[in-house]
Amino acid sequence: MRKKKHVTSVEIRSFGPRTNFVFNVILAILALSCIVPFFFMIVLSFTQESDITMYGYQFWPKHWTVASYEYLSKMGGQLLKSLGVSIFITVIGTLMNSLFSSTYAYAISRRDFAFSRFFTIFALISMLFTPGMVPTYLVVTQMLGLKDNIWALILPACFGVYNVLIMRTYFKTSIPEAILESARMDGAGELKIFADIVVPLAIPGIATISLFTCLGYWNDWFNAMLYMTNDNLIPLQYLLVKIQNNIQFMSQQMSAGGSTLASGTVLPSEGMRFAVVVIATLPIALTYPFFQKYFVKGMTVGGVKE
Amino acid sequence: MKKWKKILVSTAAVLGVATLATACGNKKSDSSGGSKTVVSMYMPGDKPKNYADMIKRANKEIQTKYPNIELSMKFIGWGEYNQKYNVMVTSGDPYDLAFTQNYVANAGKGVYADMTDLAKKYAKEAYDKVDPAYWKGVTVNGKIYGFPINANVFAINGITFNKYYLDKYNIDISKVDSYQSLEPAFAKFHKENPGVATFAIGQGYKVSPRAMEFPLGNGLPFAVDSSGKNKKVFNAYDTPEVKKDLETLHQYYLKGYIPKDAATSSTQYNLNENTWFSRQETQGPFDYGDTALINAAGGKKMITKPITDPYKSQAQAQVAIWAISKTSKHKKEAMQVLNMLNSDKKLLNNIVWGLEGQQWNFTDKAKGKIKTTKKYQPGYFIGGWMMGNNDLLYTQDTITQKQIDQRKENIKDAKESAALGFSPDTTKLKTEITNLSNVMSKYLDILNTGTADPEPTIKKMDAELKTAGYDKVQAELQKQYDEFLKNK
Amino acid sequence: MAKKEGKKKGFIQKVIDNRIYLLLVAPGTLFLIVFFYIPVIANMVAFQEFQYSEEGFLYSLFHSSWIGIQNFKFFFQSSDFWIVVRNTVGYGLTFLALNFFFAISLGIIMSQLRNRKLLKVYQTSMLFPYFLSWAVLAYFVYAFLSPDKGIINHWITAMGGQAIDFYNAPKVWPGILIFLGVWKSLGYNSILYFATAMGINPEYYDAAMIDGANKWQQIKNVTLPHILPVATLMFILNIGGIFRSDFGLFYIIPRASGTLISTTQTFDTYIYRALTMNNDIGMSTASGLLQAFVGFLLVITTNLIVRKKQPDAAFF
Repeated sequence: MRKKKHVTSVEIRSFGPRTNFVFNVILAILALSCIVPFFFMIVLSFTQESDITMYGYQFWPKHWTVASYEYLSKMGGQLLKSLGVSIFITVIGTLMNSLFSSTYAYAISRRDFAFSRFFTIFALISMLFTPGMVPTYLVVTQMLGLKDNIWALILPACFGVYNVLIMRTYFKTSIPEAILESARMDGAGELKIFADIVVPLAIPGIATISLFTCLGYWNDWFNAMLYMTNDNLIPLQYLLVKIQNNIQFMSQQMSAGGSTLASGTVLPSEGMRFAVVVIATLPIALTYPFFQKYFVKGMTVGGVKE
Repeated sequence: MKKWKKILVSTAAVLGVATLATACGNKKSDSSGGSKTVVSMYMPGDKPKNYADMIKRANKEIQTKYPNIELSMKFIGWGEYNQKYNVMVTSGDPYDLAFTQNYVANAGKGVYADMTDLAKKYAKEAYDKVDPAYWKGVTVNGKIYGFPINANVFAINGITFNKYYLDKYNIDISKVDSYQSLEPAFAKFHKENPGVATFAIGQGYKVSPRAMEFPLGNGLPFAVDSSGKNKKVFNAYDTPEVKKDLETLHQYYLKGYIPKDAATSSTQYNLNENTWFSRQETQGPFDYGDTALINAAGGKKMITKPITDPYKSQAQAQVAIWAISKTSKHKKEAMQVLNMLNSDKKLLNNIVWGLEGQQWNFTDKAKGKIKTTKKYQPGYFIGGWMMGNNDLLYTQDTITQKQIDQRKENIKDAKESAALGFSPDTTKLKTEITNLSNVMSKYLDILNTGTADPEPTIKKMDAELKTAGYDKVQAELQKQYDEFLKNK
Repeated sequence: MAKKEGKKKGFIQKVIDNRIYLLLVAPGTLFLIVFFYIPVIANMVAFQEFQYSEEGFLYSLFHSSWIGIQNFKFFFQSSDFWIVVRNTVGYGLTFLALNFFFAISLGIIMSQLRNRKLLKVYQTSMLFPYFLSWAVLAYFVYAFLSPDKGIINHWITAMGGQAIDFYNAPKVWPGILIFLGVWKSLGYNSILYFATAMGINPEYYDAAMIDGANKWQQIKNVTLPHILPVATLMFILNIGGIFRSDFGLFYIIPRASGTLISTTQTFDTYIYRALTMNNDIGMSTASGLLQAFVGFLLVITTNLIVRKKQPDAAFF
């Protein structure tokens, strides 16, 4: 029954076969152009270091090597730890952000909320100004005392005004007032209405903001740079940025005549950087289909309910 | 459709556990401090792999003299250090010790604790062991705000050649003493092996005049004469000497000796690889000629020919400085840690060489001779130039007594630069310097790597510098320099 | 607040009546107070000559002397002022227009595609560039554009042409930067519109088909109107960012080349180049405020226009 419904809805909203083919070709080319750089990174991660210096960055190197991955496997412990940290902050952060942003958005989207205007503007002002790095640093390290604490990577992004606005628009346009009214008639409390009716209807919206938040948490390294000195608590992206910055710094030191200054530091190779890019990108990119499922699912649910 | 509720409940559970875990974690780190005063020390670099053992040994040594102090080193990657340091400094973070960046500017702003009395009171021993030139170099507005690491008090810039290629193509470099005299060697090598970078330089490279100091750093054009003959503050790029060097580099660029993408390149020409024929390096007395360089390259042979004069300069005096935060709660203890690092051989050598018995062993304890083991690998020690007084360092058994005597001799003989101690106050020039930096960012790389034709480019640059306020800054610097020379 | 809201009922009564809603906004409000309203006060250093003190930042903040707009001056006195404004606003507007056009088109096309499995592959692939930082992509771009080792110059010279020194040729960069900027975020930007289009009730399409609407008419009359509220929202939000630019794109991708400044210098790269040396908190805060101020004016104006045409989509 459900499956049949799904199929018909697909057909209703689809292109004709010829248009469909043309757009498929266009999208395939576009998708290919997006995936090529990633393949390039994979190739570079297998390229011998001196090849890069002598011949530049090539799509097909003269000498192949697995040295970068050998090196990474040696620091395997750190890599796994960082992967764990990344996953932890991404999952927890995304759940918190989606929850807090949705509840806030729902409240300000309701016309019967007496302070809706106040809280809308209260949130909007924060989009126009930036508090600046130094005072935020003070809040996190001194007011909240979160130096070297994993919550310093989660809390600064556990609510998003962008998400609130997207959800507010979603609630306003996609949730018919009539359904809520009838539930109220039946005597359901506001919290119950929110939990049992609003949230299921809003799943595509929630999936969208969760995806955005999730990508944001995964890509964030700046907070780690500011607040973490403990190697056990640094996420994968920061590990990557560190390697990258190290390379940049060393090469600049070298051209400024200070080749001996950095003795004592392990020199990361260019290949290693690309190997880490590969490792840091694959897992998160492959979570996309999981979110996409909810975009489609939400639609069918919405269809049934109305 | 109650799935999301389950998600919520499990989130709450995870949150709870996580909070508990972090709470426990915090407690643990607290208890390890005990009743001792923890001195935090921020520095650039990666945490050594043997840090746990290293700091344990260090603290044991420190506590023989100061039983109540516990040192804790915090490492921030080389590439991020400057950024994080700036945030810490600006926010008034109560760190105890930090490896300074932009020392003069920050000291002028007043972000550091005044060390003038502290150093003499709590670190007398270490203070006396430092070459007086350093104390001149770190004096800002008449006060000392940082503790310098006594190491290469003078340095020369030289062209380092890859011995492998010198031998292979039988290239003679005996006459090299300037940029101009490089031509025959470069021409020969480029003809033999055009695929390898003849002069391996890239973004950030600066041409080195024979005897000049840059009071605001070499990112800005203001220079003074180290020899002291000329008492003017001038634009280095307007001098015939620099113009000639830049013209030479431009010719080398056109001939293909310098990589075509040098102005934007961050290619790593690793010391130990044969991807380069020559490069520019800075060397000082504690490098024992090419020994330090060869060590850093894992034994690869190289030869360096100097192209600048040795001066005890402002720039060298400020290579590595440690400062105490104005907001630190343990200024006295921080000073005492510096005292130990700059006076205690056992402490310093067990950091700079790695751990005795693991990374190195004594060959002659009385003379302070050591031999490194196979475990002496990057990641197991911290660079000596930034940690503590280099006079205290043990030397490898390959360094002869003659070399050491030579080092002492050289340091004694080196002249002080005329500008040693000249740390201009720029607080009134903020707007101009900001705009001058912006102008220079357009021209520094293309000029210094020889990419651009110097004559017309400098003319254009000078015009832009003028509108950005060059004259005002020059006049102010000149005034301060005159004053400085008068009081010297 | 109490005075403004409480006309008919007492304020306390109102709070009690709205307690559920207040509970729902509580976490967000707490967040905004801690991570925005408290730290944002520090923006006042833009008007101060900041003095460091032993008592820490807060003490300094309340004891530094006021110097008016001194900290803003450096930007207006810069000889690059007009280049910076032209580039920042020019690129900002171009990105605004192109991102909108391509992201909405792509979102709709993808929502109409028949092959669900392929679609998943496309969308996942198109997200990849979003994860690759500019620092990493710079290597990829360099592999194409390098003066002597680049792929493009290999082609050009192989066909007998003259190699182009891309990193010293300012004229080609607007094209390169705009292409890269749109390309990198296309997959990401289109998700929102894709999800919105997927959320449209199929019955609307049914109705349109019964009326005899062809595909284009369906998109025009059903899909676009449904996407409009979200699109308007994004438009208002993004227009406030016109004076902000993606630092990585404009600094790292052109490899910070000095000769390219006439076409690659934007406000953010200018600030970076000018202020890394002196790290002055007053001046850097001032530049942030300047960006915020421009954004603020643009958002207010846009919102006013939107409120007249489409009251529901407006912010306030």
